[in-house]
Amino acid sequence: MKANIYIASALCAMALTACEQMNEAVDAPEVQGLTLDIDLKSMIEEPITYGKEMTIKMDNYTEGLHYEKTFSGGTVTMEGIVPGVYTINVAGRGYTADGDEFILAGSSVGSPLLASGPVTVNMKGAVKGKLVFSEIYYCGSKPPAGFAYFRDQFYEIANNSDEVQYLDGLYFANLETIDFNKTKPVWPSEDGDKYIYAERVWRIPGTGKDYPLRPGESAVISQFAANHKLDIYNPNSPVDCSASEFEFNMNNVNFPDQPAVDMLHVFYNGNSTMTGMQYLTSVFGTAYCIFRVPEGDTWDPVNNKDLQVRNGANPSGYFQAKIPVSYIVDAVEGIRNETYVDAKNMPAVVDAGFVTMGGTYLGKGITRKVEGRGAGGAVFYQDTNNSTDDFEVGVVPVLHRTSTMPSWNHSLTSSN
Amino acid sequence: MRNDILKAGALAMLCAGVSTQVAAQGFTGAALEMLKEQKLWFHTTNAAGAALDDTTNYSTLTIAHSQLKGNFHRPQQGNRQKSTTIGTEGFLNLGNAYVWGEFNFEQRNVTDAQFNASITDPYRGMPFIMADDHKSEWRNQYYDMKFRVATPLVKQGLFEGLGLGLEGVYKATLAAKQLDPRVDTRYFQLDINPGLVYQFDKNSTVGLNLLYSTMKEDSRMSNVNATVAQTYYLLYGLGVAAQQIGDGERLDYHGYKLGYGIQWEERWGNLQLLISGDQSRRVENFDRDPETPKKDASVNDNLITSKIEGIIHGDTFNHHFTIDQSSRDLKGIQYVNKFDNTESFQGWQDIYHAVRSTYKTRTVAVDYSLIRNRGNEYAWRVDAGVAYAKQDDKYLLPASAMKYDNLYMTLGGSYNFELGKTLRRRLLISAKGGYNANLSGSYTYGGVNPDYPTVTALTQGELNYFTTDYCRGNISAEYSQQYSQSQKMNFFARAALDYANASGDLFGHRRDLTFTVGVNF
Repeated sequence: MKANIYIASALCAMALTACEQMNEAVDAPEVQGLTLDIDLKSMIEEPITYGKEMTIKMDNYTEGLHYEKTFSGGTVTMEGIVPGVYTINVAGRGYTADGDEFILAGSSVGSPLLASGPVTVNMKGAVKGKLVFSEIYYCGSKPPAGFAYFRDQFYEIANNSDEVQYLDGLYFANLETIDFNKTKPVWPSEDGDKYIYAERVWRIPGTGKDYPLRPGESAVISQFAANHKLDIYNPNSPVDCSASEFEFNMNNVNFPDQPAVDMLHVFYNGNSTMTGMQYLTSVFGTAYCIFRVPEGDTWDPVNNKDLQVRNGANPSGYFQAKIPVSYIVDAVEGIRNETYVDAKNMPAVVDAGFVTMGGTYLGKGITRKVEGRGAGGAVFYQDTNNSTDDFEVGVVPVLHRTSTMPSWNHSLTSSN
Repeated sequence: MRNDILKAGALAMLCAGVSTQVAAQGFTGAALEMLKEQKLWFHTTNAAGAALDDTTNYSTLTIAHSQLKGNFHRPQQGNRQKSTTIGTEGFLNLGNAYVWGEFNFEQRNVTDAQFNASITDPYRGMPFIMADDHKSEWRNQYYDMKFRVATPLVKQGLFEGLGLGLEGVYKATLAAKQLDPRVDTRYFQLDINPGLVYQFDKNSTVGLNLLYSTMKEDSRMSNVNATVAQTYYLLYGLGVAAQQIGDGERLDYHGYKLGYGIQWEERWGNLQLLISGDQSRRVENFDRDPETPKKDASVNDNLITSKIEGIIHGDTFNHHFTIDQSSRDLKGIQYVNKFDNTESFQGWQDIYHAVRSTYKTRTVAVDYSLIRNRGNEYAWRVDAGVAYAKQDDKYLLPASAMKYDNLYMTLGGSYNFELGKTLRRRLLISAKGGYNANLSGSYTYGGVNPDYPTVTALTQGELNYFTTDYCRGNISAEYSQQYSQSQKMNFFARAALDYANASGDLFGHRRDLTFTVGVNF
C-alpha cells in the first residue's frame, strides 16, 4: 500500500513537472521587435543643448546583434530591436547657453530591454585620463614546437595629457578572470559600487619623481622583459620586450631578472609575498587597472583586513584587495569572447565596454586609438571610458607604437 | 547503468528464447516479413491491439555489420560510418497475456562528422546545440529496449470486448566525439504508453492510448589539449549562431512528451482496414551548466500523424496499402537571463522568453504492395510508393528562412526462390529503385555574421542536400534454411546494398553495404 502511494506520488510529481514545462512552452509568445524611445538625461549641472551628431550604439553581445544610429537632440527612437540584454553607448557633444562645449558620453551596461517603451541614458561630461593603457598584449603566441608561449605579455601606460606625469607609486592590478561558467563574483552588498576587487596588485617604485613621462611618452611593463624572439624563448613571438621600462620579476631562475626596473609586489591572497614562478594574466583576457592612492589616504590591503574580501560565490577562494573606484586612473577589461559580457567584472563606471581577441596564442594585441597630436607631436589617445570603442583589436603588438620611450629607459641610459 | 542495460537486454533475449521453446515454429525471411506486415495493430502506438493481430509466437536474433560511405549526406552526418548491431525480438502468446520484446545494441563508428559538438543525434529535433567545423570521428553505442504486454479481449461480462496493453521503451546512448572540442554525451529516454481497445463486434474495434516520454541528455564538452582554446558555435537555428571560444561547457537537455493515439479498425469480408492517429507534444529544455543552470532555450514540438493501413486478404494474393500523413510544428524558444548576484542566491533568472524560430514539416506517403502468397510466406511481391515532404523553416527576428519540398517515388519487388523441398531452403532476392525529384528550395539568411560557417557550410549545405535530385537503388539477397527438420529453426544470411547517386556537381554518391546473419524461430 505504502509503495503504491509512493509510486502514485512520483507519477503525480512527474506529470505536474511535465505540465508546467508544457504550459510555459505553449504559452510562449512570438518574438516582436521593440520600439525604444531613448531619452538622454544630462548629469551636467548647467542646462545643455545636445549637438547634431549624436551617436547611439546598442550591442547585444550574447546574440551578436549591433545597432547604431546617428541623431540630433536629446531623444532618439530605435525600432525593430530584438529583445535581449544590451550595452548602450551614446556619445556626442553638448552646448551650454554660454556656448561652452562638452564632450558627452553615456552608457548603460547589461540592460535587459524586453518591451517597447522609454529608456533613459545618463549623459556625463567625458574626462580624458592623464595616464592610460595605450597597448596591451595578453593572448600569447604560438611557438614553432609545442602549442603555447605566454611569457611575452606586456602592458603599456602612456601619458595622455600635455603635462609631465610621474609613474612613481602608480599601482597596477588585475581582477579575477571570468570563469568558464561565466559566474559573476559576489561582493559584500554594503560595498555598493564603491570598489573593484583585485586579485593581484603591483606598484611602480620610485620616490615621487624618479619615473616621469613627458607628453607623448609611454612606459612598458612586461611579464618578462626579454627578447622573446630569441630561439630559447619563441622565435614566433611578435615582440622584443628587452627595452621595457618595467617587469614583473618573480625571481624565477629560468626567466632571470632583466635590466628593466622591477615592479614592487603589493598583494596576492592577503599577502605581499610573491608566490608562484610567474606573473601570468589570463591569455583569454581579464580586467586590468592602474590606480593611484590620493595624498593623505592610506591603502594597505595586506595589513588592513577591511580591504580584503573573498568572493561570496567562492568562499574558499583567495582574498581579493578592495580598490576604491575613486582611485582608478584607467581600466580595461578583456574577455574571452563577446558572449562573456554577461559576466563582465569591471563596472561600467570605469570601463563601459571590453576588448576581446576571440582566441588565444594569436600573437595579437590591442592598441588604443589615436585621437590627435598636441604640441611637439605628442600623441593624444581616445579615452571615452569604453574599451570597445577606444581600442583597435587584433593588431600585431608593438612597444611604443605611437609614443616614445622615456629618457630614463635603461636601454637609452646604458647606451649613453 | 551499463549493467542495467545488459540485464535488460538479457531479459529480452530470454523472452525470445522462451518463445522458441513454446512456439517452435520456423519462419523464412519472407514469412517473418509477412507476419509482421499483417500485424496492423502492432504498427500503431497502442500495445493493447496485440490481441487483434496474429498471435503466432516468433523470435529472431540477428547480427549485422554495415559500412556506409560517400559524400551525399547531410552536413552533420559522417562521410563514413561502420556499425555493428546485435538485435533480438520475440513475441509470446502466454494465453492470458501477450508479450513482445525487442532489444538492440549498436556500436557505431562515424568518421568525418561535422557541425556537432554536443548531442548524439543532431537531427532529433533539437536545434540548440554546440557545433564546430572540425571533421571528427564519433564513437557511439546505442542500447534500445522495447516491450509490449497486452491482455486478451475480455470474453464476457461488463467489460466484454475490452483489452488492455502497455508499451515501454528504454533507450540509452553513449556517444563521444574524438576531436577537440570533444564531447562525452549520454542520452536516456523512457516511454510509457498505456492503451486499451474495445471490440464492438468481430468487425469493429476502437482503441485509445496515451503517450508519455521523458528524456535527458547530459553533454560534457572538454579539450584534451587544454592549452589550445577551440572555436565553436552555439546554434540558434537556420545558421544563426554565437561564436564561443574555449573548451566547451556542460549542457543539459531534458524534456517530456505527452500525447495520445486513437485507432479504429473495421473488417469487411477480406478487407481489414485500420485508421489511426497520434498527437503528441514534446517540450525539451536546453540548460547550460547544470551546476548553475541557465535556461537558454527550449523547443515545443507538436506532432500529428495519421495513417490508413489496409490489407485485402486472399488465398492467392494479398494487397497491402498504407497512406501516411504527418504534420510537425516545432517552435524554438529562446530565453533572456539575468544573473541574480545576491549573497543569498546566485543563479540565472529567466526574465523573458519568446518563440524565435519555427520549423514546419509536412509529409504524405502512399504505398501499395501486391503479394503472391505461398503458405505462410510469399512467393513474390511488388511494391510501389510515392512520398511528398515539405519543409518550411523560419528564424523570426532577424528574419531568415529555408524551405524546400521533394517528391520521392519508389518501385521494387522481391522474389522468394525455393531451392529445394527439404529444410525450407530459400533465396530471397529483392530490388528496389527510387527517384527523388526536388520541387523547390531556397535559403535566405538575414542575421548577423553571414560569413560564419554555420551559415555558409552548415545551413547552406543542408539546403544543398535537400534540393538535390537523386536516384536510389537497393538490392539484397538472403539465403535461409531450416537447421533441421525437427528443429524448424531458420538460419539466414543476407547481403544488402543501398546506393544513392546525386545529380549535379555538389554531391557524389552514398552507399551502404550491410551483411546480416541471424536465426528466426
